[in-house]
Amino acid sequence: MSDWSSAVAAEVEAIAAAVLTCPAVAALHGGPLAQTVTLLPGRRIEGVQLTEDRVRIGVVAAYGAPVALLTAQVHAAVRELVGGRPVDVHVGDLQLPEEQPQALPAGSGS
Amino acid sequence: MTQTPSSTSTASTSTSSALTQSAPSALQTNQGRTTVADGVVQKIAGLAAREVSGVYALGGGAARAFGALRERIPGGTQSAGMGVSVEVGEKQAAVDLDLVTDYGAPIAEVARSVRRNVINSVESMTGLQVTEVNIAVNDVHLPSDDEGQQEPARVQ
Repeated sequence: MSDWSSAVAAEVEAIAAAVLTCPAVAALHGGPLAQTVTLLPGRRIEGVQLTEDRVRIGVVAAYGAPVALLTAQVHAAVRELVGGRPVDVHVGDLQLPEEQPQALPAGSGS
Repeated sequence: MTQTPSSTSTASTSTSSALTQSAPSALQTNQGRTTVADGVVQKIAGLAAREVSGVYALGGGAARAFGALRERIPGGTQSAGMGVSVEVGEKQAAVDLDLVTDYGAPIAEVARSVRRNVINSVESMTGLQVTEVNIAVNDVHLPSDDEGQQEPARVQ
């Protein structure tokens, strides 16, 4: 059990770290109702979800970066980590230049 | 064996949905799908509309009243998506805007510029095809509306 979860945790963390290195990505995003999430013993990693045949990634785009550029960066960053699985990218929000990181957790209202 | 039926089925779908297939989208690829949330399109459209000169503000009466209230709350900001409602599909998006124009700006021309700017911004930033931009002009901002707020008391 712990072997399985630690292997998954390592894989998910590697993918999350690779996605965050993309300049067009401001943050990871759990998607609507925080569905794109990996649940691990004692913690959760939002924005990355692995299944046998697909990889789902949710991100917040940095302002000014076209989605096509963002997708290309994410695909390039995770290509070697996903073993040929298709990577679905969901752009859940856009970080505006004047926006501070939110003081209140998003999604509690909407 | 299995290749042949799958290729015929894709051929039949491409003919049945010729309209969507004629404009291949960068969002759907063999390496995975890309989806864009409503809020993203809303923010981009809101900023693009606000940029156009002749646009005083976005939002209807109620939305602007709440926006003014939110601005007074510490840490609260006016939302970029105020007065903008969107419908986003896999390849296309439609935008509805409520806006207030400046007095003296030709409304038809403002609407045309807003529409052009919104379509340009959303299409270039998201890759979604914008099918329509509906614009409702709710109010005209008169120069006299500001006078009460801008001028300090005449006698001190």
